[in-house]
Amino acid sequence: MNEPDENQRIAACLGGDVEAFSELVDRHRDAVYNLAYRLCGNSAAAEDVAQETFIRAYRRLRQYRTAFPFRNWVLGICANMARSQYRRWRRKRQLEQDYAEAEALEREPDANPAGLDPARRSALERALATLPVSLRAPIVLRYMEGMSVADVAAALGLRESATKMRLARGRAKLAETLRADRGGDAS
Amino acid sequence: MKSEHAPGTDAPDGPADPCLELAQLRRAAPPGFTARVLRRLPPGRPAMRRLWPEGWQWAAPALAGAAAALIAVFGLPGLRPAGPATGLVVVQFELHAPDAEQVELVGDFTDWQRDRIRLEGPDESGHWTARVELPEGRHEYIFLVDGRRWITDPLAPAHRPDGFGNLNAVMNL
Repeated sequence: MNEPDENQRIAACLGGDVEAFSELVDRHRDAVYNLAYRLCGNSAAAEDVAQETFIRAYRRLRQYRTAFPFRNWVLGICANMARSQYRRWRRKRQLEQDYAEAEALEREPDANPAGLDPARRSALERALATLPVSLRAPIVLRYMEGMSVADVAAALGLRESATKMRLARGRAKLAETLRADRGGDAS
Repeated sequence: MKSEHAPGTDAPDGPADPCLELAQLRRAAPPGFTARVLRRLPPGRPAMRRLWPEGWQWAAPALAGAAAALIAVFGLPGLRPAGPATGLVVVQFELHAPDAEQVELVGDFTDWQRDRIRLEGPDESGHWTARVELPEGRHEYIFLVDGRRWITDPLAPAHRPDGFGNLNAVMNL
């Protein structure tokens, strides 16, 4: 459900109040950017996709239904745009995702230096980047954004049962990749 | 199948479950992001309706137009106009959902709000129906089953992506 003032802001946007839209962007930009970053694998593409997401949301604001949380709606737009971007990227470059993405992620500046220890953080980044996009998107929304399974399903246009299955497979694959990573480090 | 667990709670793998650590990797949007978005917004209010859609989306309106032309010539079972003189058309909506407990109709004519139009049913054959009086013109709608599943009307003359993974049904009255 939207926060109480969110529908008012949306109504103000429809009346041409750009300032109201900037408040919506401020509120949801981190969630959108984080999803775009995780699906695209680098900050330049993520910023591009995140910006395009909000521009498309603004253009299509009249199609938005207040029965849906606004955040789910923009995250759904973002997921679709990031997937398209990713497919284009793969078609153009003909590269496998895992190594290039993992390398790109490792070059990114540390966004949370006070959190995990660097080795664990790096291993998690690599493991997340090697998940297929179809598993990565639900994992990001569920565990990084703290969304409910129902909201993840709504944002990604999936059934709840399919979302649960993807989450379970994503978790299992993450754990498996991290175990393999530890094994490789130890040898 | 493995069960799902809520973020922030104890996970099957214990405190080292990687999913519980993922939130610490969350990336914030870079500084100045909002200003850059605002600079790129199209001037004026959000679009009323684009004259020509982006990319390949032209296919949906084109098909809708073709379907509307066919309907105009041959008519459509299930859509029964009451007559052009009133400016309103009575439309019979129908969905086969024998296992549903509740079916709602949501569309531009409800401002995409829920709880405005509920279908009656199911009948012996599992069909839910509603008769709704609508203004002439183009309408988009979708069914909401049990308050959580969006179902596109398979009987609609045309469909159009709604921007977040579902298809709206499109009809021209």
